[in-house]
Amino acid sequence: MPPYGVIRAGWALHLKSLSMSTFFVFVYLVMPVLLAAIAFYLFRNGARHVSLFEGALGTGMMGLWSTTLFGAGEALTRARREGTLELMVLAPTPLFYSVFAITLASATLGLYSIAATTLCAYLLFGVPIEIAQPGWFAAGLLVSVVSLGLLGVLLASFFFLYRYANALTNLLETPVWLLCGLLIPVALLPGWSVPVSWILAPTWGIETLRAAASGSDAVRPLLAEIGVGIAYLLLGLRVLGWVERLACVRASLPLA
Amino acid sequence: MTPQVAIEAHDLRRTYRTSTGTVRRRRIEIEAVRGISFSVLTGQIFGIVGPNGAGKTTTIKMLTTLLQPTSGRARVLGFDVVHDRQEVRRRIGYVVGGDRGLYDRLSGYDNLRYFAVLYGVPGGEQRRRIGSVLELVGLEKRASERVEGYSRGMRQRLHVARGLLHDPPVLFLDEPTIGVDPVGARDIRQTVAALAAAGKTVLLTTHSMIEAETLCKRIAVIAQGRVVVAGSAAAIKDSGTARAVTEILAGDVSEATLQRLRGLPGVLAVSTEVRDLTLMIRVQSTVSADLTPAILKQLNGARILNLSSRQPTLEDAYIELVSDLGRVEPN
Amino acid sequence: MSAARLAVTGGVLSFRALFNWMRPGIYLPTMLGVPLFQIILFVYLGRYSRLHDDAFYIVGNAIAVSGMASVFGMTMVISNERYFGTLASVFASPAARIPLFFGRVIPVAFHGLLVSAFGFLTGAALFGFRIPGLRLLPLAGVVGLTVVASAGVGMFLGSLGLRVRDVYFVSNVAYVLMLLVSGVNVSTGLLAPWLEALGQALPLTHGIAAGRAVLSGPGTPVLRELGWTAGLGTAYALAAYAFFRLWEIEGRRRGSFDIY
Repeated sequence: MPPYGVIRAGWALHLKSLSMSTFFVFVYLVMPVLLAAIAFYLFRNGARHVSLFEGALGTGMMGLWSTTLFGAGEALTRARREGTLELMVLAPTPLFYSVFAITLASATLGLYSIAATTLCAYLLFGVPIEIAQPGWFAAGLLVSVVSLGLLGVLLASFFFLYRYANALTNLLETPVWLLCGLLIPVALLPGWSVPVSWILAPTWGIETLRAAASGSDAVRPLLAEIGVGIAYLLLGLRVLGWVERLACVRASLPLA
Repeated sequence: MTPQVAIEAHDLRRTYRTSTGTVRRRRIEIEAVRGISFSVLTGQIFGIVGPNGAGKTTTIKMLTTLLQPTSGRARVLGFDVVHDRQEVRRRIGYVVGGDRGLYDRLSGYDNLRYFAVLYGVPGGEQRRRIGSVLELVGLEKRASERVEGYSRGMRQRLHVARGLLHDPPVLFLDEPTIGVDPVGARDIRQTVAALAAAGKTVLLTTHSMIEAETLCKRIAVIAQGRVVVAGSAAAIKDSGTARAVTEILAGDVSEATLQRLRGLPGVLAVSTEVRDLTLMIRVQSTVSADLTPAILKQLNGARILNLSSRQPTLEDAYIELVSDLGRVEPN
Repeated sequence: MSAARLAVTGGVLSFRALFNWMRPGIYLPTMLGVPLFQIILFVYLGRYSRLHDDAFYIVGNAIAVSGMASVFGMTMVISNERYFGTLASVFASPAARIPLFFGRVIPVAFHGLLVSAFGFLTGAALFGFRIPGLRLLPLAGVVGLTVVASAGVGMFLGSLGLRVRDVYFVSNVAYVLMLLVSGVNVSTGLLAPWLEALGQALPLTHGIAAGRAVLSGPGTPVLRELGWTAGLGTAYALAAYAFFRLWEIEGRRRGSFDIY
């Protein structure tokens, strides 16, 4: 039985502190809106007529990935610096849940991104917001936030183990945008990209949102995203259990 | 030959303007330094002591040209700290205390190289100067390591080395031993003493009365932006009214008991300090006569672990001088 | 002589001391990885939208990443003095302020050129982008000037950073804004007028325009754009120096200790 109270309290706390950090304001608000504006200009003036609303959803989803990625890195860096990492390991709650509270909070910030890019499309570019199946759309948002939160746990454990892995956060941002087809169809990329895209939750998340908006079948991608999310969960529980044991055996490695 | 004055401050004042309140902003003026005068002779070590927020750092920043006095004058080696800033800067070394103020990612050597360039140490002389200051502070073996790995004491020694790079005749040391372990602090003090012996003028601020007493030829006690008393350590001790100090280590002492002690004839001040489960009570008195029986009588019922009488130290005189003025808010 | 040493040696040492990405483990992913993926992203986005050809995005982004290196690098080597608490020691020294300040451009500019070269190499390796041999040198000149001019913008932000908290927020925003308004990915003529005006006030915009003009054939637009690049860069740098001195004077006069 997961400790829901711990997750809820941790989520609320981190959501508050992250949404006020200026770096995160940049990541979840400024960056997605500016990238959306670039995409809008390209789509509006290019020879291929791409729907600007899809561009808004795509750049919003890009924001969701960025907040997850930087949230996982930042939370761990901060915990290490402030010395709260040891306390988290020490607490009776399994490490998985206290880390999940943080990554879920950072993924939640991605909802601001989607709202911001859509609003920017509507206000500045006059793009109508039309969602054919609002229920499935909402479900798509919810499942995306949770499964990205779970993916965030895996990222965080990577940062736990390799002290300087944090420097790689910058490096992981754009490739995932590309591989998940958030703005450009994966089919345009080299062939190996397609199977890689299947294991990444944002791929299914954006497909669900697009399908729900246009009125096509949203159930299939939603189920796929849930499946991927469960895989992250099982993997995350294992990996963090292992990290926790390692933390005790080799106190210096993950906690230093 | 008459001794020369290296540093002189004449009625230095410094006011800060800040504003408070978010909705209705109100401007307030804080007088950090309210008319400080003193002079330091060439080759002397002069100490400034005082509680946090007394104006020590403000005074040192004015003397090192970093802060403009609101009024008053100050000269270093005859150069005005406001009008002849460059002349002053060339002739002074400024050492700040604490962890900060160094480039953590550079080695100790490169930190010194950078400041050698800033101070215009000629290229040919650089290596020799850096080598000699490193040797002086005992860092020559660790100089190639990045400063981020240095201990507090090593950082402090590097600060001192940096201040000496251009061989300045006058040194300003702002709490040079703060946070340094006792052995490290002693090393720094020995270095400072050696520098003065070699003819350099040193002005230092400190919280350690032992440091002030052992190093400084003259000391100024400042509080609330004013010099309360200045002179040799011995003179300051004499300026205190206390002639005897009785220290009692006791348990189960009530506030009422302390009040009764304060009321004893001849008692100037009673201060306390919690030590584990007991209380260290310090009774300062004007009479050289033994107060012990009277004190013991008042302490009836308390657990007394130790009792001793001694001559007042510089610290006793300092505490008496400073607490007369009331506690000062830290800045 | 000592002014030159102050500018060169002091500049290089301060770069090593204050540039955040000095460690190779952080440097390589950030300074090479980000340009690499930025170019890939926008080339594909361009192909998908069918607005401009590959070369448009490669030139735009390869010059833009040098601007990024300059803006961030310069911001760091000035405003990090505050982070390390070294500003008081620097201000207490008699060092001449002009070489002390402007010397810091030298390593930042070299570094920016390197990053830009890597950007062009990425375009060549992945997308078959070719620069005619004769145009290589003029293009390098354009990039060099753009890098130095962008460093002016970085200086400006860095000087603000001596007083403003969260200067990296400002430089992050500035950089992504440049991707929008500087003609990196969208030709400036397509932008809303206020965005276009904003772009015209940035040296990077003119540097990129000059770079594209060099590749499409020499002529008057190149010189005109270079003139704008240099002029704007100088204006930002002078404003930056004015701020730097202002903070020093203000610090002494008002006792704004927070800057030390």
